[in-house]
Amino acid sequence: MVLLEIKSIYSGYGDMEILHGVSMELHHDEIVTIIGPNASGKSTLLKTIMGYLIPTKGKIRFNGADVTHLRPDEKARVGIGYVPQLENVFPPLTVTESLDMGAYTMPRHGLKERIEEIFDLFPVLRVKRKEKASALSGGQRQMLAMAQALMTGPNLLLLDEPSAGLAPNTRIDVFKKIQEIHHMGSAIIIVEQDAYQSLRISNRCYILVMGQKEHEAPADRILEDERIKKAYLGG
Amino acid sequence: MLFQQIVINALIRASELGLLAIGLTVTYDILKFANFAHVEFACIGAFLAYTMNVTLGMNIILAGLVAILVVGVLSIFIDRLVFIRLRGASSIALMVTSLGLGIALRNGVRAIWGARIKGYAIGLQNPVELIGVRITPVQIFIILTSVISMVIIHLILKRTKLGKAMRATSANPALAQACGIHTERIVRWVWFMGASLAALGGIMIGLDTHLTPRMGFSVMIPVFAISILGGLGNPYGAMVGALILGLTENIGLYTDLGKILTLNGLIGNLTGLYIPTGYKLAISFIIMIVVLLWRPSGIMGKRER
Amino acid sequence: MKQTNFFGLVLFFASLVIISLFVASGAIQAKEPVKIGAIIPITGTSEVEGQDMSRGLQIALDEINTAGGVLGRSLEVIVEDTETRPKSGLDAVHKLIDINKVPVILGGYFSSVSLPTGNYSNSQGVVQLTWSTSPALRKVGPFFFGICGTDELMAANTVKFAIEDARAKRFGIIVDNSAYGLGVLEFSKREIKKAGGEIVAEVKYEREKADYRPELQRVFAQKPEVVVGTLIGKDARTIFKQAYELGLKPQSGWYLSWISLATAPSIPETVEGVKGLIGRLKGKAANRFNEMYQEKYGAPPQTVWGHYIYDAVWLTALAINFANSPEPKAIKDALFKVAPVYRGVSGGGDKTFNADGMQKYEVYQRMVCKNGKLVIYQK
Ligand SMILES: Nc1ncnc2c1ncn2[C@@H]1O[C@H](COP(=O)(O)OP(=O)(O)O)[C@@H](O)[C@H]1O
Ligand SMILES: [Mg+2]
Repeated sequence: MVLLEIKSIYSGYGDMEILHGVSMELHHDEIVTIIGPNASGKSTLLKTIMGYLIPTKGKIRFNGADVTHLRPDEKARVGIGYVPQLENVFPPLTVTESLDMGAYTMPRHGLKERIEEIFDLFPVLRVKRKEKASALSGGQRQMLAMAQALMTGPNLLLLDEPSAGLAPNTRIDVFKKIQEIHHMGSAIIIVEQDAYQSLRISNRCYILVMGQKEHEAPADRILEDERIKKAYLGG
Repeated sequence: MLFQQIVINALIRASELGLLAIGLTVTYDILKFANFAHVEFACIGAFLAYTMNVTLGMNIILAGLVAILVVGVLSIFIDRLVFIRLRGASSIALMVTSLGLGIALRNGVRAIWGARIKGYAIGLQNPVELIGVRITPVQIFIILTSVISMVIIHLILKRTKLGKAMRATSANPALAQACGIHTERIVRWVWFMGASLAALGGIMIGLDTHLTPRMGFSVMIPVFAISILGGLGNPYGAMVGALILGLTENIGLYTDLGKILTLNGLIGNLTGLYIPTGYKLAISFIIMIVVLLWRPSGIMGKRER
Repeated sequence: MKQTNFFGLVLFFASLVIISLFVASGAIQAKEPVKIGAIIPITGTSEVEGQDMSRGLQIALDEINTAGGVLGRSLEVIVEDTETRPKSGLDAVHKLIDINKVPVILGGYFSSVSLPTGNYSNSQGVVQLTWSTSPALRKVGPFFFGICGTDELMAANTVKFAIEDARAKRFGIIVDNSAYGLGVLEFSKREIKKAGGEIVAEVKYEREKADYRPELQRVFAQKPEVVVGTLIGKDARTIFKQAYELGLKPQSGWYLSWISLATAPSIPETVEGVKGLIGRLKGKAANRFNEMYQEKYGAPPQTVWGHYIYDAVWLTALAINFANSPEPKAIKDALFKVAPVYRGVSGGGDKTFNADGMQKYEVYQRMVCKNGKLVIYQK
């Protein structure tokens, strides 16, 4: 079943068009990785899906409904979670308060239990529950950012370079968590520049270049394709 | 005069100005600009309460509550009318707009209520004497109201979903949206909260002294000094800042610098060296400048980003 | 000297006779009124005094126009509000001179308003009569006149009052931080030092503030026997209210220059027993003015400023008739001639000018506040 369907969207910042007619789709049980060179429009694509940017042309359908013009908070309510690449936590809020905000659209009862479930998934956060987000390490912040987006159990999770800037060990942890999240029932789109690990857990892959879709293939095929590996995965 | 009396006087002043400064600082936190029209909400609130209390004969507490609510709603209305067009504009543009708005509101008050001095129907207050301190019942009421309001603000910000959403929106508006927070709605609540606090402060000033159309404008400098002192955007800083300003104004003018400089006569003999009273307003300015030079983020430390 | 405007009226009718020699009687009624300007603090710190001024002005105008006006035409006064602030006062004077082209402007009230406005009118060759009292006004120029004795006299007399009445040695001084207040401060200090007194506190307060407790604490820190100086309008009300609440009172009392400025707007309980000076109100002429005022407005005047503007209007009318011209130059010269023979209702009645256009004499009255009213003080 198709969860997300993007039909030839054009989008950008003011007069500056970045995406020139990008189409893609995502099934409800998939992990998809988007790769591409720096400044090719990957983050812009996620921001457009989330509703921070409104496409000038094209359509976005989610769960069969047209969601092209919904605001980000409305996107959150229909079941899309988003973890930006930078500034993805609330520095002055404690871990518990942040998770509380992650569950903003949900009823208050059952909140405590939900936070405990999330702590089971991210045990490191349980230890730091009273700490402010600003006091966490880089890896812990990334965990908090994902945990926050997971509070509502979204159907779709958008992750913008979740492993960027993390130590190699921590990266492995992050991708393990992403796999666990996928098993819990969320479809996931991951944007990555250095994409080996991401591709290993993905079903399919899109390659975005200069705001246009250059290539689309199953993830394992890409990992085997020497030409693509040379061009986009740095050998 | 007793030292306790000076502290109490500082506390009264801090109670009045603190409410205004907290209002200013919470709006700054979300809207990211210093709203120069903020102090006029104090003036409008005080005058609305006057009309209900004196003209319509309502009980002053009821009149005050209604005035506070009306000013809160009015501020949302003003936001929809003026500031919504300027979301994302530079903070200079917003500041200049608010400056103009302030002038318009101030003169609006003058046009409606006239420039004559007014007072609430509470009569002359006879002071009571407690531990050698003279204080009127109204002043006790002012301090209590202020303390209670501050506790309520604290509870709202720390315990309620709305308060946490306000803090989240201030810290990272885009992420707040991703959490499903309709940030425009939060902005409206913030206007409401900031303006009603200002109105409450204005009514307190009116209860303690009197009402004139310039009553808001006349406390603008100290209110800004307090907010900067506490770190713009930090309500707890504003509470502390108000206390410091109240104490500085009261103790500053009362202290014989000569005695301090000579360690009370230990070295040399110099008495009667006071700060000229004409410089009272300068105290606010000096506080503001020193803080801006020394710790631009206020005494309560750096804001987390 | 026995009747209010006996001399005034004689002069006035004399002038009317002269004019009627020149003007055909039929044309008199149809002529445009002669317009002069007045700047009055209708709003702001001194609105209470401003109300008395508006009323005093009206009383004088009614009298003058009933008696036949000036130059066979009626006299009209265009009133502008100074809001008790220099900036607004200056705006008002610009309007009166540049647009209405008046030859004479009455008022200014506070020296801080009279100084800038007087400088402008003088530079434009327009006559201004003020009842401000700063000695600095002497230097404004030939078109500028003061009809109230200056502050050296007032402040010195206030200090004398305190010394004679309370045998005061230790003085606190508090003044409004304005040209007028600073004048009072300077001359009070001079007089206190001359008398060998000690000044234990010297406080200038800013206008239109909500909180004067720090200033009050300072005045009373060293326990002065008396407090002299000047408090004004709304701010006086706040200061007395806060002093009352704090239980602060000089041992031997307050002695204020121009006491009505301070007591008229204040809450009665808070100013009980406050003493001070005002321009002399007694005398037949002043009494008659008070009666007219009472009759017209149903209450006695609260301040002395209605008296002063009344005299200002009359002096202007007489000077215009005496000069037989509505030109400022002629009016200016005529003012020196009519003032010595005119008997006024303010400040003792003698309105003679010095060569610098300021008052030669001023008689003050010692007053005390009882139950919210100023009454003549008798020890
Ligand atoms: N907020 C913005 N305003 C204007 N241009 C932007 C903004 N963010 C990104 N861009 C531009 O859009 C292009 C694509 O950026 P982005 O989507 O972040 O690329 P990627 O994530 O693939 O590295 C770049 O040229 C970048 O400079
Ligand atoms: Mg990117």
